Amino acid sequence: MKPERWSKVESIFHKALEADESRRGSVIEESCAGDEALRREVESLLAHHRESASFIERPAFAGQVNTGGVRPVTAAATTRPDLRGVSVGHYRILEEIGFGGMGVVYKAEDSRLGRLVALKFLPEHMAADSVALERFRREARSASSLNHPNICTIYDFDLFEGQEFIAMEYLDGQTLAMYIAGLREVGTELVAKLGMPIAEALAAAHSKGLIHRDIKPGNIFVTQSGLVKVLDFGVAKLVQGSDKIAVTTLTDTNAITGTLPYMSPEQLRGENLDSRSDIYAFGIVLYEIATGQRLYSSSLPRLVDEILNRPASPPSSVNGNLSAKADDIILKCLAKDPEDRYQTAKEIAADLRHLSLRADLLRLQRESGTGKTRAVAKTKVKPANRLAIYAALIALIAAAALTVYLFRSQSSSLRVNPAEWTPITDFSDSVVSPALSPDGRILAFVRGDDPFFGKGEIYAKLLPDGEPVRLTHDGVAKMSPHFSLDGSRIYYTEVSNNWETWMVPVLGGEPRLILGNAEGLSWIGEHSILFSETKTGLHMALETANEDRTGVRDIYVPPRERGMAHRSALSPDRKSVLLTEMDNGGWLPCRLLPFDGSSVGQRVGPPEAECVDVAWSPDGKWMYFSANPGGRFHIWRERYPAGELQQVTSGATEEEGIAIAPDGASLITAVGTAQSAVMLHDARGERQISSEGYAESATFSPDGKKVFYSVPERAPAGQTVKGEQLYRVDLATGQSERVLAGALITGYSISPDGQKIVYSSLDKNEHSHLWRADLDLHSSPQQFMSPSDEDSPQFGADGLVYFRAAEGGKNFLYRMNQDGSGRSKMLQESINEVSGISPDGKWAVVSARPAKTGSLDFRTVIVPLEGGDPVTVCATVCYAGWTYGGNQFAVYLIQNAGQKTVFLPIPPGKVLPALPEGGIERAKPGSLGKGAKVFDGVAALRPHGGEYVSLRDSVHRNLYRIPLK
Amino acid sequence: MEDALGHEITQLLQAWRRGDQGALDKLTPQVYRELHLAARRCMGRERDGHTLQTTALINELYVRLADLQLIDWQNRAHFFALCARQMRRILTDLARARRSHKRGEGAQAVLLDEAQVVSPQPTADLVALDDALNQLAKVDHRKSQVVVMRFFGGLSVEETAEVLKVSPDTVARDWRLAKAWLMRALSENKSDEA
Repeated sequence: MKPERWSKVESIFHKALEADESRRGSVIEESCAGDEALRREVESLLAHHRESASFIERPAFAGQVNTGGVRPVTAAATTRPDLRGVSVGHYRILEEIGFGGMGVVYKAEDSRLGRLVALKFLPEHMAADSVALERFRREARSASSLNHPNICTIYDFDLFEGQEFIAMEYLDGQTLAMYIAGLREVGTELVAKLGMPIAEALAAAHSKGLIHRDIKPGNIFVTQSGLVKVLDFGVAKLVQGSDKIAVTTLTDTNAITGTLPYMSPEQLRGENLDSRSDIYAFGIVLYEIATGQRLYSSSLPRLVDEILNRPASPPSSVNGNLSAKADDIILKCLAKDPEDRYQTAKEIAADLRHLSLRADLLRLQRESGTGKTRAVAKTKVKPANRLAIYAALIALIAAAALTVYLFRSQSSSLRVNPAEWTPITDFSDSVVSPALSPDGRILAFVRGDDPFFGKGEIYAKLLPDGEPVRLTHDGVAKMSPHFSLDGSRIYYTEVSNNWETWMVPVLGGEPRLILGNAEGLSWIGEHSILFSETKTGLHMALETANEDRTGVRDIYVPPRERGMAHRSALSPDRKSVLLTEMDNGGWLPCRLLPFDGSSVGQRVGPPEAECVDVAWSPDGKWMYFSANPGGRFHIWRERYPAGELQQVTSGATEEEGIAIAPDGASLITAVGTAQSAVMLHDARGERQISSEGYAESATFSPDGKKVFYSVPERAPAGQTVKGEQLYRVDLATGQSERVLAGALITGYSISPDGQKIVYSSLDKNEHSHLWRADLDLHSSPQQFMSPSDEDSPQFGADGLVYFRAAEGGKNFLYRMNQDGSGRSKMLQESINEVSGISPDGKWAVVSARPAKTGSLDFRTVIVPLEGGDPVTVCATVCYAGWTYGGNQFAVYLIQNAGQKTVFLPIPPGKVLPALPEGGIERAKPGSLGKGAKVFDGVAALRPHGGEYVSLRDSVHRNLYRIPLK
Repeated sequence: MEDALGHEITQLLQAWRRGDQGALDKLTPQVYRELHLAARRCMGRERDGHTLQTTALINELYVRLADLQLIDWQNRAHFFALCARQMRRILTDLARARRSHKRGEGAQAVLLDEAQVVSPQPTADLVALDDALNQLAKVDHRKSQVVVMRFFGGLSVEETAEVLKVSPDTVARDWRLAKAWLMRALSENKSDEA
């Protein structure tokens, strides 16, 4: 459709919608003026408009906050059995009255006492968690000891056909959430009267050391007779698992919708909670009663920000009926810092009582016409310490950073020299997860490239020289092969919809499913196994059992609901287990715990590192780990039961997976290497010319005899790479050398005569500055002094230096002489990036936001520096520029299909290449014109020649045997 | 390793705040990688309902990346817009992958609901929606952007307006028409298949 026509459709569509339903037909008729096709188009859109009311209204990631107090239907709830009419002990179930994340609630009759009760059945996934359940029982017992008119009484706690349930006071009425929705005019008095009983209920519970943790309108009931009752004391804790719930709650989508807006800042930060957290939530509830709306109602990312940082606005700014005193009470509950809140619920109850009296007085005054009070907006909220909060939030979410463990003893190094490693496999792709048979003669592994789990097949190889034999053929992701004790069978975990343990005979045969929901199974006796089992959702525990899965015993259940116990190894003395552990999707340091499960044990191995594999030396004296302190995975070992920590492997590779030979003299691990090599393509074919392991930014010298490339400086873990070292390789001799000794650069350009270089580099405050140096004179580099951040230097053919400088929050294209004089702004419009200057110095390739269209997207254009219309290079951001000598124009772009470099010839006598209308992305294959070349990845053409260089990156993993001293 | 990445993102955000617009573009692959890793991590490990969990992780990433104090709200809106585009890719890719995985057991479309967390709404095929969005982009690029920001990014009308530098009113009108247009495109496709 032509744009003009589309805009016609659009305007008639809106006009029709804005018109009265009855006039709509005639509006369309008039506007279309006999154009039938136009009328049909508009009417069809209008017809679909009617159906689309709720279509895609809820964001795909559902960050919107659900307004209801009742939680969404969970899987457990939807599959619940119909229990109507069933007798549960001495209770006879009458009807279902609600369900949600906390379970199903039935109305029932207590046949012994002849009273109505509510029976709440716990959702299955919670009841299955024995740790949580025990905690829940404990809490429920204390909650049942609360005898308060404003707390829903718990009568009983029992089991029915293996399902846990609570019998409690039956309440007839509605939740406070529904009650609030039905309110029309709310004044101070009502706030006080509804708030007081809640405050008293909280005060009673707090005095017994019970915290509710989930105060919200959905958990408060208003009975037919007007009594206010707080529900679910003690239940909240079960749902939340522990005090440190922020991560769980943020990731538990059900919880987000219901609970997040009521969470206190400290709760969000995952700190220990006390009763003042309930006071904050109560403040939110009061605010809602007072105004009929949520205090913080943004969608998720902003919501967190608001809870942490945005001071509460006074409720009276929404509801003018409220008194200043009501504002004060509510805002005091809502202080970000618990210290600034009411310290006890009792104080609030007292203040609310006064308020209620005052409200009565004020009403009397109003009614007698003596004057109206108007609330004054004021807030007492102390601005929170933003940095601390930020740090806390990050710490929370990067779970591995939650705990800091100190080395228990001096770390030393075993550091086996890689020259002593013996290759065992030599696959052109990758192999991972080595396992050895008990006699050490057969090696099993997964051929695939993901060291945790990924698509791959199980292979077995007779050591030392047997050909690897493929044993599985199903293309499903696999992990953790282990041998049976007699070495005849290999057990491994398959990961498709579930974690399942499969077995394949070493001599070949049909793989067989052994156990569902069992990961990392290993045999620890003739008839006993060690494995991990999912309790619910992501919650995975370490178990031991008989081979038929009878006699299951928990060895370790991660404390948090997103905790996963993964790979494990039993010590030779059978007293301890080594375990790799995840929490919230990230690896934790390893854990050493007693096999009898009597305690949760302790962290072992490199502290503050991800630990992904564990093993024992056959004599039981060493614990082995694959962990990544410092950023790369290497093998480490530590004395058992306590002692020295040693690094076994080191260097530029990564080692994952550990199979220790039965004699303890060596181990087998998968060694991974990530490489990016500069490849030269010439008449002789393709060859590698860089030898530094990881190279980037390759370009020819102007005479075509040398190639420059840069090598990123490895930063210690947790730090950003600060820059790259520049190298130059002589193509005639193959010799490479470092060019700017010691300098870490972030960008560079070689002068057209090949003599000089300008480069950018970050200072210690991370400000970017430009430098120049002579390439061969070995004089020290000189900095161009400037107060602003400058980078992206480009030599023009005229020897002038073009660069980008930050100014008032924007970037501009500048130019200066080589001595730094004559700085001038070349374009008045701001730019994003500059990547090329034409040989005649009249054009620059920049990416910028097109000023006219108002679009957010950057385009890359060739812009005339002396004024005129730009030419589009790319409809998005790409990098482009002229090659030395100006006979080619190179465009480097990243598309969904990958990175590409396109070279377009410059016609003789011209400066600009022929570019497809609207950007090079729109070009069809073959339509770029004669002489155009397209390369995958990053490439640079040799000036005046057909040769080119490109970057080739790859990761390989193969198995090596590493001797142990 | 995650820390390093988080740190790098923070640095880029800071560079962006200093006025380095290029940092925004450098953020794109980082954001994609983070979102994708989170999604992938979840895919294999969750017993059921992994789409929900993936979404949850994305939420979490939002919270983490949208670090919030460092940039002013205007920039933040742009950052969310960037996430929105990446999320479209990831969710659609996941849906596509899942669809091809399920093929053979009675090719089941991945419903929008599966990418959502709460209460059902009229269902549509996420992959089909993505295709339809591409079609819409050809007719009216801005309207497709509005849908990406609102639906995949969860941006409000005001935030979307801020990002697109148009009035909230325009966004609301774009949204209305885009929805009708997409609804029609989806129903037409459905009848094609039938």
